[in-house]
Amino acid sequence: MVNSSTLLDMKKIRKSFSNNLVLNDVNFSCRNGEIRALVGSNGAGKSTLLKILIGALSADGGEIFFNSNHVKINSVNDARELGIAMIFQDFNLFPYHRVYENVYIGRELHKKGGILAVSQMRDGVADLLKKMDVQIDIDAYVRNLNLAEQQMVAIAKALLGQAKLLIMDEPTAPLSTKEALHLFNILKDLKNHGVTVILVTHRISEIFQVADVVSVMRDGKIVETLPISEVNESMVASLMAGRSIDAIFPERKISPGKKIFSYSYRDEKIKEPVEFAIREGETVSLFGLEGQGQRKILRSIFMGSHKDGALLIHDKSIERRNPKILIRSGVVFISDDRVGEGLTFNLPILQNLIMPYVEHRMGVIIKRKAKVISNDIIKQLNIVLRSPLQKVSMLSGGNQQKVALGKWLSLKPRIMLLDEPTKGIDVNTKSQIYDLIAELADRGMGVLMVSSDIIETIGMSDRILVVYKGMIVREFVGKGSVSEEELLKAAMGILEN
Amino acid sequence: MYTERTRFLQKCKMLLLNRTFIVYGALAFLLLLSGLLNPGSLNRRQLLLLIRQAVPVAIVSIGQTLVILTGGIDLSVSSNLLFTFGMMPALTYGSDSLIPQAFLVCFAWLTAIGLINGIGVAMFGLSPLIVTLGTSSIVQGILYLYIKGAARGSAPPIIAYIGTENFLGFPISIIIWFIIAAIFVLILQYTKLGLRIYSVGSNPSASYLTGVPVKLTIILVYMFSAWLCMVAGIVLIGYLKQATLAITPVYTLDSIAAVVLGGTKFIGGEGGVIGTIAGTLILRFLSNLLVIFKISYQGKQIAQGLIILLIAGVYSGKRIQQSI
Repeated sequence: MVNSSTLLDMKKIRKSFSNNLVLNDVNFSCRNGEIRALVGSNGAGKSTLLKILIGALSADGGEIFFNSNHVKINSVNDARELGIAMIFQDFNLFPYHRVYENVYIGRELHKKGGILAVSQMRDGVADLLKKMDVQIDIDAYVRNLNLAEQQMVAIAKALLGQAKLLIMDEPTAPLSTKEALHLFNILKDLKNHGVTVILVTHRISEIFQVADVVSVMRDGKIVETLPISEVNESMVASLMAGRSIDAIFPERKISPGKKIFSYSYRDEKIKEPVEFAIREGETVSLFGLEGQGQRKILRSIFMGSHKDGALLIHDKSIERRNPKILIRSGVVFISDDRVGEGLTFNLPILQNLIMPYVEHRMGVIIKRKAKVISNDIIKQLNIVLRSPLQKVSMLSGGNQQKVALGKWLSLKPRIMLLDEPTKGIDVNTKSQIYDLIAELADRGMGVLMVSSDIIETIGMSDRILVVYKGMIVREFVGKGSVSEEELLKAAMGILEN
Repeated sequence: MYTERTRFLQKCKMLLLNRTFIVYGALAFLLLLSGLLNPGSLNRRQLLLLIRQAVPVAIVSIGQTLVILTGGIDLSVSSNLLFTFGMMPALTYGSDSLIPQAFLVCFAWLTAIGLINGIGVAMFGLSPLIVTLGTSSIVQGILYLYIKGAARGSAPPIIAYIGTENFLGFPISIIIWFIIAAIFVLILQYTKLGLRIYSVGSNPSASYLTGVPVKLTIILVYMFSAWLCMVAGIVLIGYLKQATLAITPVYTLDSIAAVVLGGTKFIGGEGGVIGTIAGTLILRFLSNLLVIFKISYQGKQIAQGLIILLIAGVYSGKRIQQSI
């Protein structure tokens, strides 16, 4: 409903990345002076929608109305001029500058001749912080502040620009309960001063403390927008789950065998250690909402020190852990960051594919066998390319992932650690990758997977370990034995049904 | 639908956009130009003399290629070469019998420099620019300390022989260059080390996760660079026969120019020795062309700079083309 108190109205926003439709004619609006919670599973499209709103991305279709005016937001500056400000999870502050410098950066006050009007800026910031009821030393260097204080600086920076719409992405992630409460008070105060706030969060329980209205996003659409008084946690969870299944998950032919991998991980800040095992042919998932620690656990296997974890492969203890040693022991790791860690992008496909084999199975000379191996992998995984001498950067995302995964096949690994195996990949390739993983599992390979895609997790895993706040809080055994709703609830830390 | 014709045209396009092809094309063009503008200058004897002059830079450039391929840079090449150039005659007192000792001393020093460069970059994460600049100062200082400010001595006969004489019709120095180039072309194309070098230069993180010994590879390339500078220094003293400090230490910039001109990407990961060879020759022939036209040394510098900018422009234009 559009009336004079509607601040923002996004109509039929559409956005695709390559062949992936991420935003499917999204309609999203909020009123003046409202605190809106925006929730949804990973991949639902929240970040993309917000990036379009603040001008970091351009939509393929749709219109945006701000204060009843049709606007075009083509750059971050456009958004800023309208009064839309976003505070990211990493705050985007300058650690080596002072608080007042950070708040004024880009809009410094000058005296005649271009000299900075330092005392004016200091006063301005002091005023602002007082209004926010926040005590911070304005002369302090940002790197010396704790995260909660840094967040305050980030908020002050947004407010200086007369923000009418403040967007916050996972604001309570770095905060303690007390600090979170303080933040909520500030937000409520802002509301009273006419600022609208959009809060993106995974901590569903918190939205009941601060939000007026909640919008649930799923599969690139806003499925429901309701006043907080009309919902409870369970309802929200149900609305978030229930995605359409677009990929078929392969049937498994054999059941898991004996234990081949066991890991015990301890993070000093977390009470209990994380312990789990993987059996021959078993696919285990570490599932959790963003930032719950599952990724950290996975990576620590491949690149940790014996201080934080104990690893046993076939009952043999692995003392030092670095990629070389782990690969020798039959464990391989496929990162979620294809560009940064998975592949060497400007090298030809051939070089990428043969690298593990050359590194670990060949002597000094690269023999003809390498080319044979490369062709085998290309054939087995059906990698679509013009020539193996093409650079990897020329391939589509799905084929790139096939290279990132396929290169390890030549080493016949016993355990595969997968971080987001099908991130940013089209449906068809996803299916092919699922088939590959199932085939390898049937041959006895153990898989440890971290995926933010709940459907993928349920469809592929023999066992799901739910990670919440760095600990394993629940275990679901048996393929397809848990519903999305149940899994999501467990991941949100909701213990009762 | 790929017809035979489309495939052929595609292959032609890939060839034309291939950096190595471009640079060898440019070299051929330059040779043609020289031949046209100064007929008679392209006879075999002249060419060989010309190339022989370029051998020290060429050998240094091979080492520089390896370093740049890993994403680094070696600014100590000039002083490394100068060090050998000065130390060999001084330590041998112009006699053959002392060559082994002199060689060992130079080898030890240069191994140490290579190690310092490599360890500084790989293990301490220092910028290659800074480390190699630092070692270059140290090396120069040590040299001047030893020879006490005045270059002395002449090349022992064997080394002079290597520097000036022919073998089977080709100057020995050129044969040495050829062998070294062949060795490193083969290393880069067909060995584990070669793949590691490209991989590290292209993406150190991904290499590390594949089990590639990133630090070791980086240390090795700086050591190779230092050793190649030593060989170049020996060839140079063989050629000039007399030690002198009057030679300008432009080997650093010249080697970088040759590498970049030859198509190796400055950030690393792409390129190779084959291109560098062409790059070295282009610079040499260009400079010769300018001498023919009696252009001054400064004019040559300007022309060289312009060529480098031009080629860099061509390469980046190609990159823009590819991303479209």
